[in-house]
Amino acid sequence: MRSARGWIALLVIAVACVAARLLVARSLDGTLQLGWQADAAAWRLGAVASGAAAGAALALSGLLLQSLLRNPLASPFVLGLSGGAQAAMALAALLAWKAGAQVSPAASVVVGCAGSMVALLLCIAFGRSRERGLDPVSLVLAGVVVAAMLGALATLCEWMLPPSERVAVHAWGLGRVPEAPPTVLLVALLLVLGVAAVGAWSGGRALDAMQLSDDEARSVGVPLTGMRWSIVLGASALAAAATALCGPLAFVGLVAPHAARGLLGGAHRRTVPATLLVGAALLVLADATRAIIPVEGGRVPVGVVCALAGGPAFLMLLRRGAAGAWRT
Amino acid sequence: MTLQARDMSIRMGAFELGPVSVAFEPGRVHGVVGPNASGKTTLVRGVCGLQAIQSGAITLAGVPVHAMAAAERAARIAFVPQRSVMPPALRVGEVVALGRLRMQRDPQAVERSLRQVGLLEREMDRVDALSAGQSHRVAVARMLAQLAPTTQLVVLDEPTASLDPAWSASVARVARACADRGCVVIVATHDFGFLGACCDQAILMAEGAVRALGPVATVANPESLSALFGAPFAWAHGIAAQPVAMPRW
Amino acid sequence: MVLMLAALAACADATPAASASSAAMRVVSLSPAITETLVELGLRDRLVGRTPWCQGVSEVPALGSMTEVDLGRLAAARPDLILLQRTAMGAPPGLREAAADRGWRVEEVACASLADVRTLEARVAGAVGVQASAAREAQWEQALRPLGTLSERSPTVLLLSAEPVMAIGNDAFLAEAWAAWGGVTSPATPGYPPMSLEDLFALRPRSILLIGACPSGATLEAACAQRSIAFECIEDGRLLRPGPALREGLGAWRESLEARAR
Repeated sequence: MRSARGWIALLVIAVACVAARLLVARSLDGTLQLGWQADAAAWRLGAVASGAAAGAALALSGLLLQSLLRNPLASPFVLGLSGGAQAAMALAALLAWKAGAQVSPAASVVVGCAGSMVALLLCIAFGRSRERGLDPVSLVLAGVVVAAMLGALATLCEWMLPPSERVAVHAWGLGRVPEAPPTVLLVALLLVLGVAAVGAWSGGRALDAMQLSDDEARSVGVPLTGMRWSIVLGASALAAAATALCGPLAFVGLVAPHAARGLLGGAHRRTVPATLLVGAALLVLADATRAIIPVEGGRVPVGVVCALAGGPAFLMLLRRGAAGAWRT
Repeated sequence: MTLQARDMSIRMGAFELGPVSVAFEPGRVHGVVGPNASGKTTLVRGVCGLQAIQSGAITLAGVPVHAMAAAERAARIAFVPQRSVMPPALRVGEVVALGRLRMQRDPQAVERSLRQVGLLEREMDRVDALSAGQSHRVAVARMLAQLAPTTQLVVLDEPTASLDPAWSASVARVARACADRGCVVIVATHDFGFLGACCDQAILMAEGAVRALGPVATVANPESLSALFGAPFAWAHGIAAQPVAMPRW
Repeated sequence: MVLMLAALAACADATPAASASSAAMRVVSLSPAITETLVELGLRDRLVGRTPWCQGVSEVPALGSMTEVDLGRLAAARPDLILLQRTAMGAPPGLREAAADRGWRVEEVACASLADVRTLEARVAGAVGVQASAAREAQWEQALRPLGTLSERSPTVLLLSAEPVMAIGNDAFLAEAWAAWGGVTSPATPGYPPMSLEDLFALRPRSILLIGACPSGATLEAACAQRSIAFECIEDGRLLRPGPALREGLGAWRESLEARAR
């Protein structure tokens, strides 16, 4: 059965990515290390936990947004959610520096979520039209503008910090997969992920029905307005929690749903768990890549790896006509 | 189980429909005809509860349509729009099964519906591999899968626009069967063969108002239709059991 | 009469700055380190421009930094000499052209290695045309005398930040100071390599010193305790400011290390 083959392929890939992160690394002096390293085990396991949780959350967020907006190019970046979290963190860092204080991990969760929510509210406020409520096209346009504005705000806050403080804020913006994730952040992320995953899986057929036109979806009994709000809140909570732990990371939320759909078809009952697996595997793989590639001058930020790998994948999707496949 | 529209008026941008007061009887196929932008689609969407109304009331068997919850509406009303959107990456069978979103899963019902529209052998194909006409038949099949003992209203918006004559006739049979089950059936159409062959009642609309209402044979005559469309009509024989008014070229 | 006065005024504006004596020299500093050095040299009254991050000279207008400078306000300050830190990117755009036009002297002062920082005062004094103090050099000598006690803590990793982990490479002035005191720092590579926690502990340090405030969330502290690695946060901002502040900070740090050894 096609479905069984897809699942097997997916599981094999996921296991391979985790194995790569746990068993392969290149040390700072350039030697390749293969096999289980007992003294590095704690760090690598922590990195796998962070990467898998954040990758799965970003991927699910992307899937929900793509279904909501009927747009295969939608992702947490589109609605400016990651940009909102980044701008909020930069602003918090600036205010903390002025007050001579620091931003704690717990505070960063709250701050990041607040930033994502603000971005979201702005998108919704400008993405609504009176007749159609949450209009997918307007939402995407609003998201692009909001993301740009928030990016500018983040840059402004960074610019106002003295050069010595900019490093930390700038590095946060490049993304990381923490080897020792702060408990608060990881637990919050896992909770949000659990609730969202269960909700998305059980509402899988309704999510399928949302891909029909508005009239058709309503006529088969989809409570469209309520579902749209739930998806918007769920997707942004997922993105905010993942961003609070790992910083803004591009392309995982965009590429993972496409890969899942390619392997297992479009029905959400299958795509939701598949997307979680693909997202987790992708981010763990990006982290493994950064632990393996040569390290002249130190480790490359994981956000750079994601962008360098995700960018070409995105272009390939464009070329294959993914954008044209979904008509409104 | 009558669908009653009382002083219903709808405003969409600059377009105003109504006020319209019509009673749609169960067991009858009602054909709504009119020129482009006369308000046919607005009317049928309004009576389904898919379009907000500015004033008046629409009740189905006494229950206000716009007050129905999503699940209740799905149980009572089945709708096929003029242009359906097919979810990419889903298979034909999965799309048809969406009609039963709020009901018990029933693979047999899905199979039956696909057989009725002649697409059973395409059940496992992706919907984006189908032609426009085939996609529309899938939408009709979805509506068929949605039919249940609780269904009271079936609405089709220009169902034969993208179908060839064989499948148009099939849709006519579907509409007839629904009416025979006791549903109210409303079809907005430009297809005068369909109107004459399948519909019991005709509703003529122009510029957002109902101009005439009554049995097809009396209301849908060449004189009224010519006045409505501003194009010549004539009686055509041999198309259906009774003469049918058709546009004259 | 009015025309003559106007002509005189025009002539005065066109006087080339190079001919001004050091007593009247107007200096703009585009680096906090250079500003602090000038203040220590007693040249505070000659300062006519600073960066927004220069401390203790709030009466002087802020004109820009080594990345960007407000040429209009700079011209209004009528500088004779502009001092900035030497960086890979060179002077801020437009500065050299404007300086050539108006006869301002622009001098880039290297500030990266420990030797640079030690001789900063002498070079700034030389640029302005005054004498540097011999006492300062003695203070530097004092601050950098070897400490016998550091070998048991070596190798040490000096961290610039804990999140992300950024180690201070062996060419940075703090690492050089530590080496002057007799310690050994890791990694033995230049620059500020960002690394993962795994990399950090793979260096097998005996002690880890974070130059800055302790991060909230005691991950690093707990990990060090687990591995019997001494972990300490040195919350002295002077250590990151090359110039007189660094000298004072190093002196204070050395004293505390000596006191602990006794």
